[in-house]
Amino acid sequence: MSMEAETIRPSTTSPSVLVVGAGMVASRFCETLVELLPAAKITMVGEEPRSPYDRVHLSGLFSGKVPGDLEMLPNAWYQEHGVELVLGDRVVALDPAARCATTASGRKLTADHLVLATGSAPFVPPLPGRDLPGFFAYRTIEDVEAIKSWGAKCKEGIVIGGGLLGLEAAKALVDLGLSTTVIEFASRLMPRQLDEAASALLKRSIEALGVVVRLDARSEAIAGEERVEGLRMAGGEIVPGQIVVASAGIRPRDELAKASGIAMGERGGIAVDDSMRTSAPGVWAIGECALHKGMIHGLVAPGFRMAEAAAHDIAGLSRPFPGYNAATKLKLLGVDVGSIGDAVVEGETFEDLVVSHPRKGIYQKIVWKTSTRALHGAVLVGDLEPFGELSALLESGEPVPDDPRTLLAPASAGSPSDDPIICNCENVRRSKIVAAVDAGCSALGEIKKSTRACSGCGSCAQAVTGLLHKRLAEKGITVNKSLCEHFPHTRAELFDLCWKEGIKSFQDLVEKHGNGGLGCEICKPVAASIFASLWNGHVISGGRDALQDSNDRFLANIQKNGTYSVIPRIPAGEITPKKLRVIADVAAKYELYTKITGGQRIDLLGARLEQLPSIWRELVDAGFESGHAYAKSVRTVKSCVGSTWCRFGVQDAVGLAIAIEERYKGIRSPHKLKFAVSGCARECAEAQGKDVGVIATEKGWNLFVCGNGGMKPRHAELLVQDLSESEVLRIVDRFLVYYIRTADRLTRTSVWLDEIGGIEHVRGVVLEDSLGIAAQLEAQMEDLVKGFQCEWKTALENPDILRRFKAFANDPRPNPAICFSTERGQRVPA
Amino acid sequence: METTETMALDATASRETASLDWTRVCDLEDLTRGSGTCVRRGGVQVAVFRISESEFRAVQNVCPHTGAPVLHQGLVGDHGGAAKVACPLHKRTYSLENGHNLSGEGGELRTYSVRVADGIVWVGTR
Repeated sequence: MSMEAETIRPSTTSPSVLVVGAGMVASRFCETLVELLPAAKITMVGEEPRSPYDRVHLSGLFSGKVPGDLEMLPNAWYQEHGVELVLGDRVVALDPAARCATTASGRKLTADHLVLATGSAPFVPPLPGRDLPGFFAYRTIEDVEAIKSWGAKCKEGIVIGGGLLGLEAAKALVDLGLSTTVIEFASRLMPRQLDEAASALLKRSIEALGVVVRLDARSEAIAGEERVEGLRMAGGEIVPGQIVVASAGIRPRDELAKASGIAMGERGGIAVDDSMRTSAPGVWAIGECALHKGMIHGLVAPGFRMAEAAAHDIAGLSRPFPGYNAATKLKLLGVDVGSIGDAVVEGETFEDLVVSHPRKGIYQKIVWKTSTRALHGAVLVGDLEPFGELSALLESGEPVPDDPRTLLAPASAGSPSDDPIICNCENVRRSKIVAAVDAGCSALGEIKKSTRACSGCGSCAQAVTGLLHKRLAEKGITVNKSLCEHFPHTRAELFDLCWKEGIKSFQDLVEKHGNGGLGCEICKPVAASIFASLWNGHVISGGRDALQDSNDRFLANIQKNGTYSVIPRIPAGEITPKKLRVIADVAAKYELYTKITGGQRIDLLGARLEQLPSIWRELVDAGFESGHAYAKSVRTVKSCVGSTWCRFGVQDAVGLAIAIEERYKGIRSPHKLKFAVSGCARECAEAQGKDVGVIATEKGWNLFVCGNGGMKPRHAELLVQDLSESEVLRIVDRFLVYYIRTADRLTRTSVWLDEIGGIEHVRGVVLEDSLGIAAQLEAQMEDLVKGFQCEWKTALENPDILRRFKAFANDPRPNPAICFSTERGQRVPA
Repeated sequence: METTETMALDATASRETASLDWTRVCDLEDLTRGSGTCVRRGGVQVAVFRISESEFRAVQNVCPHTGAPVLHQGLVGDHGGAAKVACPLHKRTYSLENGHNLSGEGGELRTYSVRVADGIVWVGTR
């Protein structure tokens, strides 16, 4: 594929395209084509009465979702882009030569191009009695609604089929409160993905939920006279049940194509090439009805890739369907199951390795070719940690390591006892940390390595460090307060050194005061934060970007799937409808997940790295500034509506909150800083849980400091009463700079307060100038306030910075490892 | 997209170097000193780090812990003088010399060879 072929050419033609079928893949096709050829005239015909929806999450309808939540695209989207929807009407005949389709209602539709996205139908076993009321397939929203209303009258339910969809259907019946039996013809669950042992483990976990699983089970007929009463098995036994749901695999819906003479595979499926072209010129087939290299792909991800391949081909571009290694990761009835490639093969040409901890519900197996040592497949139950590494390995085709066990992470040991869990992510208890200290660990890094505590979300760092210091002190060992292996100083000491010696680069700092090395993930961001607090340059200019954590380096918060969140500043949570609309437009345009934050602003999640500049271009042009949610910095000032609206309010809380936010926005500090302003003593803004809280009184404002929510909540302490607005700002100036100068890295004000000597000490410094530095503190804050710049606005004007915002240096396409699914109508990490 | 042309090796290059299957991935100016850049090599994404003016390292880009394609965005540093990278998601650190997980248990990284000649960056299997 050449670079030129990737460039999207504006279309001068407006071809018409008829899409037969209106499922998820059809919808993705329309989306892609609209992007590539905005002028294309698309008509989509579907037999179901509704626009495309997310079939993968159908069982969500049993646990509280409504059909609207599953929509792939809002109805307005189709209107906006001129996509005509013909719903509730089935195509009954095709004329490929004329590119013409006839529907059940007699409509004749003709177009330049025809795209078949007819999907698949559930395979319904030909059981006598399957026309009795109470027998259902599991495929459409209509099926689900019928199952729901019928199931409400039942006590027992039966699912025929123990594959992926069957287990989904079983979850649906469990959610309806039925005692459920799963009948599988094969000797294991998910026979296409799992081997005997993995199936046994999954079976046990599912049975723990009360579901009965019967393997090697052959059903003969539906039992019942007027309605379903059970399932008759070979041998005559009747499994009782008032509802039977069949989900025994899928069959491609290829009958239309077949009848019109388009080439088929031997066992069905519309034969297509890499661009999804069928044997008939001008006719494409995508999704579960298409047969690519002898394979029907029953998952949605390859279907989407096919839709993209066909849309590109029609637009005159090339993006062949890459095939699919069938890596899939899902939660079945609460059990994590991952399947990569084919791990069910056996024989002399393959070797395998199995790691199994049945009591912990963990089973992992990898299979590789003996000759090339290339990974062939893997199955993971209960612990999906190696999933990413294994799918990358399969994709690369490279050999498994000499010791393949290194591919599978050993499960952590540890017996439950009554001592508290300190690290929830890794399930590490206090005793284990204490034992690690006794065994010689003397730094957080060593404890992480030895116990895995704090290697997950990191929120227990302070608790673990506290425990470490306490235990070391008990053992009479001096606590080493070195920042890291590169500097024998604390953050506060480094701050002083940089300030007094005018040090402005990491290289200078590490050569003069450190060990002269490259630094690390601890000292580099500390240095960057100190330079920002002292010298106020743009955080990612002048070589400082290499010091920044990825959040600061890309001016956005990295999320679990490698996408970023965008939070524009909304001072004090006050926003006009016009600006709200801008946010809504940007979110809709880039398909960002939108959520109101606890800090009274709006978080837009799921932006790809390469989208950040254009997203911020639109926001900055509309008058928004960076919200610094990515920084260890002042975040937001929460407020109530105050005396402007509230009948109890005594001061203008919003006004002061905006003044505070505008003054301190963007200032870098040892940790994040949260503020709030309440307009009366009712304290609706929860100011006493903040680093700086201001509460209105009849006479002015009371100032509280060093409160904290989060892991270890703490009420703020009253610093001083009845201040005027300008006095509030002056005292907060002094307080903040004193904290920034003296606090250790990642230390919130509440912990710092104890370390620095308590509220009396702080009161002495910031109110009575006991150290004689008050004027200095104020001057330093004045410099920081004057130096403010919207970091995004500056970044957008700098081509050198913008160059970094792309997925690959050698490929303009987005990163294919980032995938999304839909939850409650919004895009979320897949 | 990915160039598969073979690298023009100078006459002194050893047989071993020649067998590394070098792939041209990007230009030197695409790399920023002290940090990482993501490139595609065949179907695989690789994080290439420029740890000093003339020193380079390359490892898999996908985080073995979460499966997210983020390692090129990690902070570069050293541990006892040996180059390492910290994953931006949970700060697990990995040696850039041999891919070892320096944070204890968990997956390790695949490493690749990097070579720069005439302003062109090449990545080879190791």
